[in-house]
This record gives sequence, structure tokens and C-alpha cells, in this order.
Amino acid sequence: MTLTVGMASSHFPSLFQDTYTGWQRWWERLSSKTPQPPEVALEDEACIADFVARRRTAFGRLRASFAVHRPDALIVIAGDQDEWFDPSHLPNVLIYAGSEEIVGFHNDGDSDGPERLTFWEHPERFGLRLHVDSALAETFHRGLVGEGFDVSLSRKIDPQGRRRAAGPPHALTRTMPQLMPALDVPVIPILLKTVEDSPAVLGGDRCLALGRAIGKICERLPQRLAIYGSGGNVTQPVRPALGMGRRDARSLGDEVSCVGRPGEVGKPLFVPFGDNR
Amino acid sequence: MPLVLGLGMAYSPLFFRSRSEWERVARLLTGSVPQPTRAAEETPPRLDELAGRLETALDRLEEIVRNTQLDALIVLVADRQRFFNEANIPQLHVFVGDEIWGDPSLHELSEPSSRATLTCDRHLADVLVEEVVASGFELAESRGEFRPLGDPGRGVSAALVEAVTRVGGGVPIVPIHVNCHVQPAISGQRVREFGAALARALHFTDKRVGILASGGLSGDPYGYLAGWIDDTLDNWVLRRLATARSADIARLWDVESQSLIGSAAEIRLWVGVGAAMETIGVRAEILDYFPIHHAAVGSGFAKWETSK
Repeated sequence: MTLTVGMASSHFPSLFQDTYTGWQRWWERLSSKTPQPPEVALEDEACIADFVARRRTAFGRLRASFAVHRPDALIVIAGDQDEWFDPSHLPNVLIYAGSEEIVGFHNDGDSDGPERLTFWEHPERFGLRLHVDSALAETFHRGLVGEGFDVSLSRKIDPQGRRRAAGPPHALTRTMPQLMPALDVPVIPILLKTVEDSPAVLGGDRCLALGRAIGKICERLPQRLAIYGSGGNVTQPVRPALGMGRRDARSLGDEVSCVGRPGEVGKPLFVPFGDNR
Repeated sequence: MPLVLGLGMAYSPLFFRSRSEWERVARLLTGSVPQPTRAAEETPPRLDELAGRLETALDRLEEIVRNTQLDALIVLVADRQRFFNEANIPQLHVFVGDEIWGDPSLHELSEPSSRATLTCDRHLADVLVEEVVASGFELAESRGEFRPLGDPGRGVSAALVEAVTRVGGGVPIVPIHVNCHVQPAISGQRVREFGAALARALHFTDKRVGILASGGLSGDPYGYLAGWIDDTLDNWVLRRLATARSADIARLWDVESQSLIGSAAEIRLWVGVGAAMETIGVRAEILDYFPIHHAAVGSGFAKWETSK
């Protein structure tokens, strides 16, 4: 069985707010200390309302596709962003194949209410657990090493990164309720180095090769598999170019291209709108 | 020509202990494994002779490093759950920092701590990691302060610390870890490609750089085959390196065999050095080889020396 569906989306935190206030709070937190492009002024309440509606539609499409294909497991390609790892132990590509569940958070509506909530301080509302298909993850690791990819392996969760209380990489967890509200499909997490402070990040061609190798391994397996790229597209949260909509080849290459050739998975399903917040 | 020297040295803690300690070290390395009949030939006079050859080989390596006037020494080594833990097991890894340390003492023998700190060439490591990744390798890295997770109290592997302390001549190092022991381990062919990529990346520096493999050869210290040495394999490997045919060795791990795990898995490191040196047209010269059952490894020493 090959891949049955491929998906990708951004996952910036404002995206999961339903109100102008919620978007404004995240923008202030992430961007307001950086000079902003003039287009920011265009993002008024009506514009944000439109973004919210489009986000609902877009994730609704992803959710519907996921439900229709009903995969046995979901490969999630995500950037770590110094969350599980820090510069002292920095994988370039890593597969988590441990048996321990990934306990993390979404942030749906964390800034919509009277007060902004810190999502990791409210696990009762924002907490989630993802089951990992360890055996399949090991299979993918072995397969990729066999294909000549130097993929690091993790069999234990031992957070070393910048914000341990916030749990695993947000790219792994934040959007999961949007794709599968019941969180009932096991995941195969593949982490990439993306925005970390290192000159040694994968080029787009190598990302593409990695995605194709993943597709090739899928073809050898009996399971029905889906693949999802979480992250991008073209800005630098909490970085100098924040809010500038800069086309960042690294983000695009690493966080999007790795899902492989669109032809391998059918018509691509992206969330196709941009913003500066 | 930035790459000017290659070295290979097998590793056993026995190499770095005085002759009077060899029996205790051997018992530790071989445990309760029944020993091959040939081990009985290692009588005290024979061991004295081997100790002399060992010192000669190590002195020779140290002299070569000193005479080559290196600016930096890349060291290929395998981790044994010292630097890394199960949270992150890299296939290929470069340390990009200023210092690395390790304690090679054998606590099982109640040796006192002998922590040693080694100076690293962070700038060269930075060049290597960027260039090698750009050429298609998913090299993992560690930046800044050395922070071992596998054995936080003992640091980097003894094969790195003891080899560099003995023959490194104080030259700053770039530690590179190659996964030889956690399955699935990197293939021999991939290590060979990596060695060649390292040699190419060194064109981006003007430094005089050497590359050392510290590990192997055949044997299985502490393991199922502890004390058994496949000198047939070792001699085949060394002959291949002496004729610039690391490609032949790279295929070793296409099969799975009990005799290819343990320290024999670290022959990969020699493949990496061989490939790097073959890239610039240099083949190995075998300095010495002798299977010491007390060391639990085939004890080989080689150099790849350019004329520059």
C-alpha cells in the first residue's frame, strides 16, 4: 500500500484563534517588537474574520480527506525548533520510535478569552496525547538508513530544549486535533532541523529525496499511510525578519517539500492563505 | 592540500595500561567467555614482547603526528552510550565546540578518575558540518559546551580520550561519531561516501588536517565472543586498505554476523579514513598488526601519509 493522502499546513499560533483579539494578542507577542510591513495595517477585524473562516474551511478539507482515507498511521514531518533538542544535541533528521506517548498541547482559542492563557499551564483544556506506532517508526528508520539517509533515532523522550514545560515540538502536536479530532490514529514523528541556529540544514533537493524515499518505503508496507508536513511557510517567528513575509527557502524546503512529490500522493492539499501575524 | 595524514589505530583499554595491569584488564574484557586455545600462547614472555611492539606502534603514530605539523586532527570514533542516550542516537555526528572531555578510567578495576579535557577546533568543525551537509549528509551536531547524556559523569568515549592523549600531540581535534553499535548502524558504503565527503570539504580550509580512526579491529570486548579475534578478517581489511580498496571493506556489513558486531563494527571507522585518503590518492601503510587475546581486539596500526 502506498501513501493514501498527503497534507501540509502552517501552524502559527494565531491561526487557531477565532477572534480578532486572539490574533492581535499573538501578533503583539511574536511580532510587535520588530518593524512591520505596511500590509499589517490592512489586517483589520474584517480581514481577520476572513482568515478565520478560511482557516476553518481549509482545515475542514484536510480533516475530511483524512477521514475519508482513514489511514493506519500518520507520518508527521515537523521542525523541532529547539523544543525536544537544544544546540548541545541537534539532530538533522530524527525519527522518534519510542513506545511512550507524546504528551503535548494544541492552542485552540488560548488567546480568545478575557485573558490570554498559557496553553501548557492548562493541560485540562489544551493537553493531548498522541500514540506512536513504534514498530512502523522503526521500520521507516531502518528503511531510510538502508536508503542512505543518516537519520538519527530516538527511542526515549528526554526533552532538552528551550521550553520543557511546553512539551514536545509544537509542530508535532498543535494541529493534530484539526486533522483528527479523536486523535485515534498513531503517528510516526519525523523531525527536521529547520530554524535552529546552525549553518548545516538540509537543502531542498535532499529534502525532496527524503520525501521520495519515505514514499518508496510506504509502497513496500501493507498499511494505509498518510503524511503531513507541519510548518512554514514564509516567515521567521521571533526572528529578525518576523512579519516580513520573507520567502525563506529553508522553511519551504524543509517543512513543506519533504512530503514528497505531489504526484506520489495525489492532489496536494495545502492551506493556501498567507498572513503576517 | 588540507588533508595531509591518515591514521588508524585499534582500540583496547589494555593498550593504555602498564604491562603489570594486563591480566586484570584481560579478565575484565573477556569475562567468563571460554578462550580460544591460541590465547594460551600468550605467556608472560610473549606478552612482554607484544607490549614492546605496542609501545613502538603508538610511539610511531605519535611521532608521525608531531612531524606532520598538523593544525587539526579529525577523529572518527564510535560511541558506546557515553555521549548519546536513547533520546538521540545519531548515525553521523560532529562536535562543534571548543572542548570535550572524558574519563577513561576503568571503575570496574577501581581505577581513580582520570578525566582529560581535549581542545577542539570549533571553526574547522563548523566548516565541515556545513559543507558535508550541503553535499547530502544528514549530519547531526552538538554546539557549544559538551554535554554528554549517555554517561554524564564520564563524558566522551575512552577510545577518543586515550587515543588522542597518547598520539595526538596536543593538536586540536574535531570529534566525529559514527554509529557502529546501535542497530541499524550506518552501512559501510555510506561511511565510505562520508569519508570522501570529508576530504572534499577540507578543500574549504587552508589548515593542515589529519584524520584518525580510533576503534576496532575484530573482537568483542565484554561481549559474547570476548577474547576471540578474527585475524583473518583483520589482515584482509588491512590488505585492502594498503591497496586503496576501502570499497571492498564497505560491503562487509551487507551481511549480519556475530563476528561483525563488537569492536569489529568499528572497522567502519577505518573505512572512513581509507576513503578520505583514497580520495587524494593515498593508500595505507600497515605499521604493525598482532592479535592480542588479552586486549580482546585485533591490534592494528596504519598510516596514510602524503608526501606534503
